[in-house]
Amino acid sequence: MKRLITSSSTMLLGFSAAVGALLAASVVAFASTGSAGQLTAERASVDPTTLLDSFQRPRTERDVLSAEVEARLGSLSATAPSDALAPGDPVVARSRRVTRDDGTTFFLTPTTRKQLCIAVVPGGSAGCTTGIGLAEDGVEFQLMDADGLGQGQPTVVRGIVSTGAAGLKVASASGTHEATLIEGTFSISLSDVPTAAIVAMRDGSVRQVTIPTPPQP
Amino acid sequence: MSRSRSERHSAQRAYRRLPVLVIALLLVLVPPTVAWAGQINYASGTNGVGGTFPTSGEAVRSYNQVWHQSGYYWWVWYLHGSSQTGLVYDSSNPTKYPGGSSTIAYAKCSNQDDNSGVTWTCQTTTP
Repeated sequence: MKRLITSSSTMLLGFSAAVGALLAASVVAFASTGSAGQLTAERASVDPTTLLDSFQRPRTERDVLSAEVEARLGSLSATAPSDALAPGDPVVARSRRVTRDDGTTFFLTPTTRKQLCIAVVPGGSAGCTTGIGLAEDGVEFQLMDADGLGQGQPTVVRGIVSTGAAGLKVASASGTHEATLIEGTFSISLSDVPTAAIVAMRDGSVRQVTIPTPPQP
Repeated sequence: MSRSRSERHSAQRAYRRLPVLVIALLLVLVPPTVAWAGQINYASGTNGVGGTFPTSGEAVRSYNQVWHQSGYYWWVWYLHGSSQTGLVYDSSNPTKYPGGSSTIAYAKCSNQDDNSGVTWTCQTTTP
């Protein structure tokens, strides 16, 4: 009899935990959806992997995603507030990994919606691109500064350049700073405020993307 | 006499199971409460280039992000008094500062050039 009571208690607790978890998932999904009406995004026709050096070489064992990055990328579509903003499921069998001299690793992973998700570790976020900037400007980048521009810690500018790029410089008040390109990725730290990303293309042309002043605090 | 003993036994058994019922109730109620208290949408809209959108109050935050159409640039940051921390400028989706605010702060997002017509949503956390 005692065993029966213990067994039913275990079942009750297990059932309660399952209901609680389901309710939690529903709450997160509801909070993420928001109330505004959604429009359908027009998908870019460009496949970013066709514009990136990392994908012009064969995939090797060292390109396998880490478990942490795979989990992060796998959750993006599920947590997007609308289907229009969902990047698609990561195609992990096509991932690429680029590790730079400063220890920064770029994980590049195409998705089922022909987007490219980029996770930078350590300390970086994971986001996805349709490759529009890569096609139009030759570069897509992220600026990150933990303590605000011009403060103690350096400002990091990192990103990807198209296969047509021969070099990349980042301009700031102190001059232009050459970034090292490794398989189409770059990462550079600056002590002053970056103002532009300048891409020298193999065909001799130069493309420049202005980095605007951040909004007032 | 026998019936009274049986009733007393049933009452004791029910009393013994009370903690189990309380735990079961907590298992149902606590996870959604924690989830609700975690992530919030503090702004959402369509287009609005140049607009800056803050949270309604200050709190210690775990991250700050905006979901938007890829290829358009957005800013996110924390505001502590008059200083910015956790500043990110990015065109990938989501644009996210993955770190926390350490101390209480407003979370903010700002639309640099997103006129895509796709609804964007700024999210952060509350304790």
